Amino acid sequence: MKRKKNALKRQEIITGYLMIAPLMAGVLVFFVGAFFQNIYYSFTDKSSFGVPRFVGLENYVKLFHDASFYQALVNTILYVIICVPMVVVLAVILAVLLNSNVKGIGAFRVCIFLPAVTLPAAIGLLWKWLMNYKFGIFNEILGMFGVKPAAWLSDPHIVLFSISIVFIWASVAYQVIVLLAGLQGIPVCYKEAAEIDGAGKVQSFFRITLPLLSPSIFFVSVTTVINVFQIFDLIYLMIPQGSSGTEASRSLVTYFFEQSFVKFHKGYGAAISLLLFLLILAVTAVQMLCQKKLVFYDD
Amino acid sequence: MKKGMSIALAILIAGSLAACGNSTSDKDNGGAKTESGSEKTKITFALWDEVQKPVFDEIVDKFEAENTDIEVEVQLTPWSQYWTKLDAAMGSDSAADVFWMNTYLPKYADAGVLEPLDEYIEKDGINMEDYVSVVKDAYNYKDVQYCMPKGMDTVQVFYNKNIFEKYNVEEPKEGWTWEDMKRLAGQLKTEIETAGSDEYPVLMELDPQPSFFNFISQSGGYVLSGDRKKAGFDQEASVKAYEDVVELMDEGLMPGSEVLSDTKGTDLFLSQKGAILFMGSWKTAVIDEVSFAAQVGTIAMPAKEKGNQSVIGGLGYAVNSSSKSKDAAWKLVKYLSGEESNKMQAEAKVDVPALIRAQKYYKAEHIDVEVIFDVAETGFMFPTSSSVAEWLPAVNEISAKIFSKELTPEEGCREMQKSTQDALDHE
Repeated sequence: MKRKKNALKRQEIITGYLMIAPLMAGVLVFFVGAFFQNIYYSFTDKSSFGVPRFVGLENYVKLFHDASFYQALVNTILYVIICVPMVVVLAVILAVLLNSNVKGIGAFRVCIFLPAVTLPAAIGLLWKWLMNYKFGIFNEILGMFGVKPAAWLSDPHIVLFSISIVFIWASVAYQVIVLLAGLQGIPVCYKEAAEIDGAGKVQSFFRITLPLLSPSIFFVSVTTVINVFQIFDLIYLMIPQGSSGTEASRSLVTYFFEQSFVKFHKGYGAAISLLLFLLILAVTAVQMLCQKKLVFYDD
Repeated sequence: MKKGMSIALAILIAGSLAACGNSTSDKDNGGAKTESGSEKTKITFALWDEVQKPVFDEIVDKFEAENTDIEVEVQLTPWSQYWTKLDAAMGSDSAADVFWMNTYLPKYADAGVLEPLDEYIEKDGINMEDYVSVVKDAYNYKDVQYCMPKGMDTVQVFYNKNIFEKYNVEEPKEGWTWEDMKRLAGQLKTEIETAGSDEYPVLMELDPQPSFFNFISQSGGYVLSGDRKKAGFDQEASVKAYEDVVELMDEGLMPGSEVLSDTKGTDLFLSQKGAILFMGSWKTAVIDEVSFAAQVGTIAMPAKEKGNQSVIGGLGYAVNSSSKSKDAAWKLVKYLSGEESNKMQAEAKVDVPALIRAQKYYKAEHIDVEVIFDVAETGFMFPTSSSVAEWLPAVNEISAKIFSKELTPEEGCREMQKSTQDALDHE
């Protein structure tokens, strides 16, 4: 009897693996395989064609002397510093507001969620027009207040903020939904108990909602950090080629793209992408460590 | 109900399969009739422009009708992936037999992946003098002809007669100079200001080909020396070329780079916001379709210290040196660069032929295109070298900084000289 059960179980396991095999094959070839190949390429001088030659640490040594790389690194960190807190704070505020029972709240939820289902290309093109120096609505509004027009997409002092604004707008949407789900998972009894004990709205938010929401907030922060580190599409779409804002807006992924696919230094590009990977790994590890102190799990 | 649905679906699928089957078998039949049993040679032809693809489908159909033993597959790869894909395919020996080539030629020629065409040209008695010499020479690298010329791009001035008329300023005249242009632009500027209007006297796109590479040569400087070993941004004349452009901005004769980098000069011109536009011939078809096209004049660029010569670009057709059917590939290239193919491209207005006797087929409805052919006679080839992918982006970026006044022309040229010379030295 027992043996039969085991055999059945084994069969189930085999069937299970068979079911995920096609997907796993894809993951192994296109993600795991590609990842290790990328590591190998980062130690070669792979360019357009020909057999890549092994060059040891040359790419990495070059990276540490490359001013453009540092500029891209600093820019990327600035994007993280600007975007992550803004996305998290805005997402929490919007989620709490959307969690109320106002009439027509569904419509609001749809509006807030819209950017998440909009193509990045469409977002980039739309904001590019909003921020157009001569015809954009932003400068039109500034003009009404008598402020001089800003070169949103070509002034090196502004361009990083312009991209950040669009990034925040575009990525808050998805995170709001995650937080909204988290909010709706908080049992009402805690709030009722707090109310009976005489806690005000603000107190109840900071003492009950926020701690119980912290696992969701943690998830939102980790994914946002990773997304911001990989910021590329908006920059690629919004900063015109040959704009004087190119350097000031360049992120690590943009730099990787330029090296790999514009200048065809694929080995060097691989090294950049590997460093980016390590950077994200380190930051996520730190977040994981902080999790123990800052995140409250209700069980 | 459910059963009915599934039957309907099955019929639909069967129907569509049958439809596919029909069309392919038709084609097979057509082929089989003429080739009488022998295997067809299959070759591939890669290009990147989806606007030109339909025209090339037609050209290839005609070619196949004339060469029934050859079957051509046209592969469209968008520009953003074209070179990456080509390089990867070269590595795995699966690249197209025939493909479009541009200024990246030296890189591919040096890598030995392009088939030298001289023997084929000689064998078939093709007279290379039939092509615009600059384009022909652009694909002649180290005395080897690697591509047959496709088309030709020149740069000239388009001007809006309406605006000149409105402000009562005389139109540009044949043989005008940079100083003449500044004088006209100055008059326009004064008139526009008094009228409280917002047109710009001069417009250009601040990319190398439609603007500053022309001016560098016209001022007497150069981007690359003739042997492609020396960069010329350290020449006084090259610096002067940049100074002159910045001066146009400083004097308010041309919008600053913050305007021009967000809105292309051509778009401003198309919305009647500019009087004089420096633009490449590739925009002729677009300008020809605009409502005021009949009021658009064309003229060669104003002369600077050393003339008004234009950069000339143009694509070529290359044959893959590891192609398994080089003879068929050459036949296709010969056809593509021949009169019929050029005529079809010209009539579809997708390219100005580099084949001189086919240029008469290129016509615009309103715009006088003669200027394009005149300009071609004095033009010079787009500067390129093996490492063009390395230095050209740097030149673009630093030039942008000059135009946005982050760098003075002198500082910018010093930086461009350094990065370009560095790239050339490492070739």
